[in-house]
Amino acid sequence: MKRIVKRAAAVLGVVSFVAAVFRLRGRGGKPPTGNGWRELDLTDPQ
Amino acid sequence: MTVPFVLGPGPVADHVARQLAATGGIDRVVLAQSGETDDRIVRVDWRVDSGLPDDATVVVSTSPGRPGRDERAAVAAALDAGLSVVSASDDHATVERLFDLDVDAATAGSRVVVGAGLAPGLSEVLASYAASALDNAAEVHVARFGAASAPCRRALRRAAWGRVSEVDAGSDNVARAGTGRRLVAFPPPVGTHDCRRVVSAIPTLVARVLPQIERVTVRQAMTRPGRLTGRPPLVGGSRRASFGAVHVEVRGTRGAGTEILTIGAVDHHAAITGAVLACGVAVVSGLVRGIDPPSAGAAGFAEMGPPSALLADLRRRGVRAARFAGI
Repeated sequence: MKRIVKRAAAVLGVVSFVAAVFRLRGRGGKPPTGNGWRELDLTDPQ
Repeated sequence: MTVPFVLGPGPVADHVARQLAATGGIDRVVLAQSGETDDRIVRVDWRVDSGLPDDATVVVSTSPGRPGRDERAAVAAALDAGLSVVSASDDHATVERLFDLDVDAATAGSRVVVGAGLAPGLSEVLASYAASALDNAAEVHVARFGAASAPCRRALRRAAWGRVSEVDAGSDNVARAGTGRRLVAFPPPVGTHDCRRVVSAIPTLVARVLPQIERVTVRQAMTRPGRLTGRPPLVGGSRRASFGAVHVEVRGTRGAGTEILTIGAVDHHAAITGAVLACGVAVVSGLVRGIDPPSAGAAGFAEMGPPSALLADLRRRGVRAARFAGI
């Protein structure tokens, strides 16, 4: 019983560490890399 | 004869004075800052008990948040004397108070320009410009980046806490500042930053210029520590936090389809704010081509004239807007 609790604690520790690393580094969607911005032409009605 | 009297401690006041000194039709600028005086910019060590300069015609309040006691007294004295006032404040109570002065200002023959800065100010002009390209504009989402000076950072720190009043489906929606994280791609070199809800007067000003809009949100690029310090995120690893940017997204319909138009601007923060304030002074003084001076009373900066004419004047002052054309 003691060994199961120890293993569960170890697994929980590893999972928490990995989650913390992802949380710190972020793994969300990749932000746009191209700029895509063009100077506004005030004569253009868009 | 136009003689603006520029108030405020930060670099924005310096930029406004330089912009105004380079504007045709302005004889000289009185700047309430110590320093060297030249032909066009007269610097004075001003105290509220010394009264307004005798020949001042317009008072410019550059404070981004709630103006200090002296600045508030100067604005009140200006309105009593029938002078025009141009304010950059984004403080909700200050904006409401200036709009409450509408009748008094109209009676005195004063013109009060409210929210003349990067956002509010340029943001509503860009929203109005984009909305004119749609058949029916329904939503405006504003995100801004940067802080021009220490007073601007203090105002930003206050705006990052408290209750945010947004317009949602035509009615007020109250949310907590600092929530609603959204990734926003500002024009380069500012790039992509996390933005969170902030307390702002922008929904009030958007509702005045685009009354049909059903939803308005305002966000500011900030990190979690930035909520405490008011410091904006850094651009591309640069230690200099001088950039200012605005990102305006207008959603609506055109023809049978829905459309999202994204429009923005980026430059030195104090330079953009200075240019917008200078444009406001020029408009109330009748110095901008294609824009008649507004009638006496209080109005937002974007209500001063057609958005294309305001953007054309701002372009002459070095503020170049951009649209997001897709990747």
